[in-house]
Amino acid sequence: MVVAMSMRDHLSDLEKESIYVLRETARQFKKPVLLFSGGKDSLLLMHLSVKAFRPGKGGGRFPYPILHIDTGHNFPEALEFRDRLMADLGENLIVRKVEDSIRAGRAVDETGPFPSRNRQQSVTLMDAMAEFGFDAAIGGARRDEEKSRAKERFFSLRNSAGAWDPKNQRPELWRILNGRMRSGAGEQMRVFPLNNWTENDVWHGLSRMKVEVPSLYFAHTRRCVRRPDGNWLAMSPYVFPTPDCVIEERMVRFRTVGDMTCTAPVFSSAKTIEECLVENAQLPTSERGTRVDDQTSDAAMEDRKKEGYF
Amino acid sequence: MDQLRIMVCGSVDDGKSTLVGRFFHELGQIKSDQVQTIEKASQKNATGREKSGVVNLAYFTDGLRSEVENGITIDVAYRYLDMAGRRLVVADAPGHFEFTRNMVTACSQVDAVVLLLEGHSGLKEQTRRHLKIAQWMKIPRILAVVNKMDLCGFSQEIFLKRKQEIESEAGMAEITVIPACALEGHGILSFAGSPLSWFRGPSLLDWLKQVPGSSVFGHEDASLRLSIQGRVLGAGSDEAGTLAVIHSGRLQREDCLQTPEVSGLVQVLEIQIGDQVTNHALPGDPVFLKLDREVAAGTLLTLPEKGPLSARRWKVEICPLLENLDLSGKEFWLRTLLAEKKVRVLPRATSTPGGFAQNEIQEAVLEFAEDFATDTRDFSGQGDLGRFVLLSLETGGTIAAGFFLGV
Ligand SMILES: Nc1nc2c(ncn2[C@@H]2O[C@H](COP(=O)(O)OP(=O)(O)O)[C@@H](O)[C@H]2O)c(=O)[nH]1
Ligand SMILES: [Mg+2]
Repeated sequence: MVVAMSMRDHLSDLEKESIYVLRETARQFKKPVLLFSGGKDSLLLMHLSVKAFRPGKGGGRFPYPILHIDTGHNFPEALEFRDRLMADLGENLIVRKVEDSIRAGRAVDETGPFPSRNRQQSVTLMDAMAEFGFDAAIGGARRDEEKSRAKERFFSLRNSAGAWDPKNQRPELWRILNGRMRSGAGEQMRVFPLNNWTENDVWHGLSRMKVEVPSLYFAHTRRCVRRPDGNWLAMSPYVFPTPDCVIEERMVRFRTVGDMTCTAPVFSSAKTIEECLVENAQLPTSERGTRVDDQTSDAAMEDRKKEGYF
Repeated sequence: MDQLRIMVCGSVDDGKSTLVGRFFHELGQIKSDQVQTIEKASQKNATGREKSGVVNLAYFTDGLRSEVENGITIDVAYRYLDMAGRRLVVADAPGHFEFTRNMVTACSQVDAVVLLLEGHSGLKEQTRRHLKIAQWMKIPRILAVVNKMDLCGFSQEIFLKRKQEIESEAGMAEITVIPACALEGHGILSFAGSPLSWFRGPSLLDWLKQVPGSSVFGHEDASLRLSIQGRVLGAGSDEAGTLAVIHSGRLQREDCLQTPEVSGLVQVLEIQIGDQVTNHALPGDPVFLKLDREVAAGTLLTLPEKGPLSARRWKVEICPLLENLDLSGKEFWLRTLLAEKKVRVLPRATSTPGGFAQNEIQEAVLEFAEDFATDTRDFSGQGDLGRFVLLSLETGGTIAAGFFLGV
């Protein structure tokens, strides 16, 4: 099995790089936080944090708490998985709800048949950063996912409003990570330890660590709705299909897991990671092609990153 | 699978982004939703350089709003591809002088460089600058692609002229030169059946298959360089361990190590990676160590007699990355892989305001408050510790890249 062996080498390098970034983050910032969404990338970050900071035998703790920005539009399976994982790891989980930001008048809910809270979550995130005084937020974004993420640094500076300035990023040389910020200016850092992982790498990495993965990533039957624009979504209490929508029970899985209101299912019969990988290679679309939130405009992700999103 | 990381660079508009897009397209690696994005951007910006209806593959990497609107590359985009047995990471760098800092960023992350120039117009100022920077940053392999051969009649004579020009610019360094037409896809996967079929060398793909890849971390057979990253937060004090990373060389259990700061030796009692106790560790390994004494984060550990140089004044080479920098006589943070220290740039007499020109490689002398121990650029094992950046005291921003030359 020469192929499998050498695949391991390449993954080991990615793991080493990510753990290096996690440890540098712990060393350089006063109060970092790890953002957890319940998806595969933030799950990988959790397990890499174990490798970085917990030598086993009960020793060690993460040098940062975990923050979940709860949009209220989660897949119930993702929340269940989150709570089980947190109970297993015994790390400190903080949850902040978009619902509360809306109630406090900090954000306004969208209306219409398919309301999304994708933009609203930036407000809740920024409020939580301020509430706890976090100076760095670690996220599971990868360059391979999307065209503006393709331009990210490992340490990515945000101004006091959380805004990314893609035209004026800091140089980042070799493995010398610069966590300095202008003092008293309210700047903060976004940290992306998984920058160089591809979708396939994430699956190989999780599979090699032999960790449990949310059931949403594997084929199951589910009531789905086809919107008039052709996009499919899972049926949920958060969508209000108009009569021109089609509602059907289908065998599906998810390639990315975000909100129920913006994550499109993939029709599939793949029940294992290996089967998903084979199937993905044959799919005509990219991973993020299943995200309705990326399709709202030509630069939807870049625009959200300018509003404090990661 | 091994890994090869490359950067595509060269002057503005010589076809870098087009080449990257064309390469992924020819290999069937652009997915349908990405094709749609590229088509949409091409239609919207069909004024000027694109004829309407023609797809501009540069939009595969030029994805920022201002990049699409202006038809330029501002910052480096990274794209990933699996070839037979090899992960390829492609960094598409910007060509403009004012974005050279982003090209330098990309250059610091790669094993090999693809440098583009135009067949009809030849070497430009930015072509020369990018070549010089790549050589300065010790990128061992360079492929020069003479692009837009369609604009000079696919002429072998003109190609040979450009080849000779770029070879003499590169000096003694080995450099491979090939012709191409990124727009039509000639020379990308092969030359067969193309108007360039007279060429007998490797295509871009052939070259990428045979260039050696490398690791993000240093060499295993170089001298040991290990740095302390912090401590494990344990419940009981007996559980506490030390976090460390190996930059180069090989660490063995029971090694006795020295630090530039402390006299006496530090012994390694136990090495652990993940939850596995082991007898040795290699570059990049994130280790948990039990040492016979406490050592502070940022400390460098080496084998005795194989340690770095130490001095208050260092001769360096720097490349200032921002415009209108006033470096001469000023103080900055200097950051290496290990540590951050305040330094002063000693003044020099030149005609440039502030004494240093943007994006030019220049010698300087740095003065530390006390002795500073580090490796030089030419230290074997990639000299990872021989690299540094300068940060503004005011903003914390990274303003220059540099190498330690000697004391
Ligand atoms: N005629 C011709 N034009 C090309 C070729 N490659 C790129 N171009 C054009 O050159 C212009 C600049 O290309 P781009 O890839 O954006 O250049 P970059 O600034 O180096 O990234 C675009 O209009 C391309 O279509 C080529 O091989 N032949
Ligand atoms: Mg370009």
